[in-house]
Amino acid sequence: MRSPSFQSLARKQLQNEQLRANLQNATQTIRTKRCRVCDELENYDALRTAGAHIKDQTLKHLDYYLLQLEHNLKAQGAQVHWAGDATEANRIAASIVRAHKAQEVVKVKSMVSQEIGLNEALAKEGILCWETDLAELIVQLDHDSPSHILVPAIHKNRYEVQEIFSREMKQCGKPAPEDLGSEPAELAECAREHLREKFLSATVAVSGANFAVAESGTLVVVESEGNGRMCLTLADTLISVIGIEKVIPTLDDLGILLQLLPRASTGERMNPYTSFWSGVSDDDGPQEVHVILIDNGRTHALADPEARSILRCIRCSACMNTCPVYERVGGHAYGSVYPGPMGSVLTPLLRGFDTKLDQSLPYASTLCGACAEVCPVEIPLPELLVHLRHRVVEEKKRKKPGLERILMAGVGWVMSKGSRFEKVGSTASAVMRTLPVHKIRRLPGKAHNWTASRDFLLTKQKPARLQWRIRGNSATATPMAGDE
Amino acid sequence: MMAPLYGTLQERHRVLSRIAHALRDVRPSVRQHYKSEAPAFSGYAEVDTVERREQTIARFMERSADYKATVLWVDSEEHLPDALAYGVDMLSLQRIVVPAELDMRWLTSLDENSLTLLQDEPLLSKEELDTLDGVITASSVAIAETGTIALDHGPNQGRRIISLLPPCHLCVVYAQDVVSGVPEAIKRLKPALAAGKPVTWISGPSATVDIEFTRVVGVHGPHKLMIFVVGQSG
Repeated sequence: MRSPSFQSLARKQLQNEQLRANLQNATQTIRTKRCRVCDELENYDALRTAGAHIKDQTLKHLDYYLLQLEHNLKAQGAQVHWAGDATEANRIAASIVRAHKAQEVVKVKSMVSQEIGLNEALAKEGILCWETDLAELIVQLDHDSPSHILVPAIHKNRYEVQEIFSREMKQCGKPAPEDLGSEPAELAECAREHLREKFLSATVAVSGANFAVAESGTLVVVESEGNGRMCLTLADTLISVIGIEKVIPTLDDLGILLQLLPRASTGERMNPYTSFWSGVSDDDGPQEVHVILIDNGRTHALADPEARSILRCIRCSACMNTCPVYERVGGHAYGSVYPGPMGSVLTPLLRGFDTKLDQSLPYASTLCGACAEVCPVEIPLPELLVHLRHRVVEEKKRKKPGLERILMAGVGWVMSKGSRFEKVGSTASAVMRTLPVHKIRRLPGKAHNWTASRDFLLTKQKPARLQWRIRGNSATATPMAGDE
Repeated sequence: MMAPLYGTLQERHRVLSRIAHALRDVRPSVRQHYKSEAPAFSGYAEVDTVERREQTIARFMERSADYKATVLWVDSEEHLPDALAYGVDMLSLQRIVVPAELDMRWLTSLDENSLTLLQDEPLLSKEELDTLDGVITASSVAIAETGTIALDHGPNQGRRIISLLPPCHLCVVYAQDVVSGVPEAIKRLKPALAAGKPVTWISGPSATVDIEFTRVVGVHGPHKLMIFVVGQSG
């Protein structure tokens, strides 16, 4: 089976009108909100620069800060584990859950846990993992996959959600009420009831973390609904899976980033709930706290100095909310847990450039640059995309030459010498002038990629440089009368 | 007995080596201890004039109300018991919990006949807390810029669960604990954070926009937040 590329997935997603309508509505709404709260701050750009600086400096000394974080976490009673890849992280998480003889865990949304396929890995061990974010719950009950990192169920409208709750909730817990309506408030209340039961009975909870402060060993979860607070405080055992790039040096640095994240992501001055914790607190919350620090390809990104800045990303999703391509195709077209502009850069760096999909992702962009304008940590996304295109070409060079490489080599040969370029140009021009047609609607074979959305127009005039030569090649040569 | 080691030491070493290898291009002299020089970006300096303080407090009240919290000004601590009784009445609360070391003088106006008041000492079970309809806590610091309340879960604020499970949260904020922006709040909270204490920032009741981007208030956390801002007498 031919593996898909972004382009082929995108073409399919473009047929989905409901998705396009939802996305357009969602992204336009959030863009307006984001603009308003960011414009409110006089020093917003200075904040962004400070955020970029903090992240860059941390990345340059990543091992130092991770060791400091580990030290301070342990001092507060947390247990720290390191995982080089997804398999190892999942193995550790499953071992901890099994050791506590739990068959179910509740989970607060975590991008990295999706990245490593934690739910699936736990399911293989017979452990059920309940998502508790409303949107993740919707997606999980529908056996679907998320399409946006912040509002994962944006591709579902209220009627679809009503149907999903009515159909699925009874299979795994408190059923939805018989007379469940489709008003968002009713649907949220239904989710509240259904999940309350799970929160109160859970013994093990899984989370990620938005930030991990090295100087104090503080972990931070930023959220809106309260399910984070539920997961972080109600279970006896807490497992937090954290990408190694989430560490930041100090609490003051955290202050900068906490001013950037809510504004850039949901367009609010501050999100409803932010939880800070470190290790174990007496008589308050989980008495066993585990932290799994995971690499899973982040060191690949770190090792490329020109791509390293992608690791600044704080997962706000401002870039994808602004991207004209994302707005039209949605997250599923990117074939990755991380879609949109940041996903197009991060995914191949984490996974490698081997598959057709990962090779196509740096090309999933018009390079319009809107994303870089809104990124709260000033990641130069278009530059990174161009750099990765270069890497894709280098990767392809290691294989047998395809048509594109042969053509490019040919073009390179023609253009390497002025006289050669001129000769080829004049010959082509002469041929076009003698052909009886003015345009070709469909070029043969692969060249039809050009004529798929335009006609190929044949020029009927002599090449410009020939015309100028006829008129005289001095600096004072003037066009002939009537040739304005 | 040593806790079982789920993650291996080899893996730890492997990840750290990969990082060191990835950072070969960073000049050795640069790879020293980096001291964070993040300047304060609050945009509003902490100024002592009465007028600026008033502006800061007004901004806090305005911005927390923006999130649909109910915000009440209480002239002085003397008037707080009546204000809290009013709040309890307005929300029709019948069973509430308070932290063990909440200032009991605050509760003197509450009607003992119509209200069951539980102290979180000895610690209430999850099931008991689930039957309650309200909680009263103090707070540590409040942020004007963002309309945020911060709890450091000290003895007069209670452990995290008591301000999470009940559907209504009544929170007392002293005017002198209101700071302009996030950096100042972090400074005030540093001792607690450095000591590994849990901290919770609350900006309005819980909300979601996950369904069609329509904002719905009150998902899992308390859906009613009432803030009492207490000034100084005189």
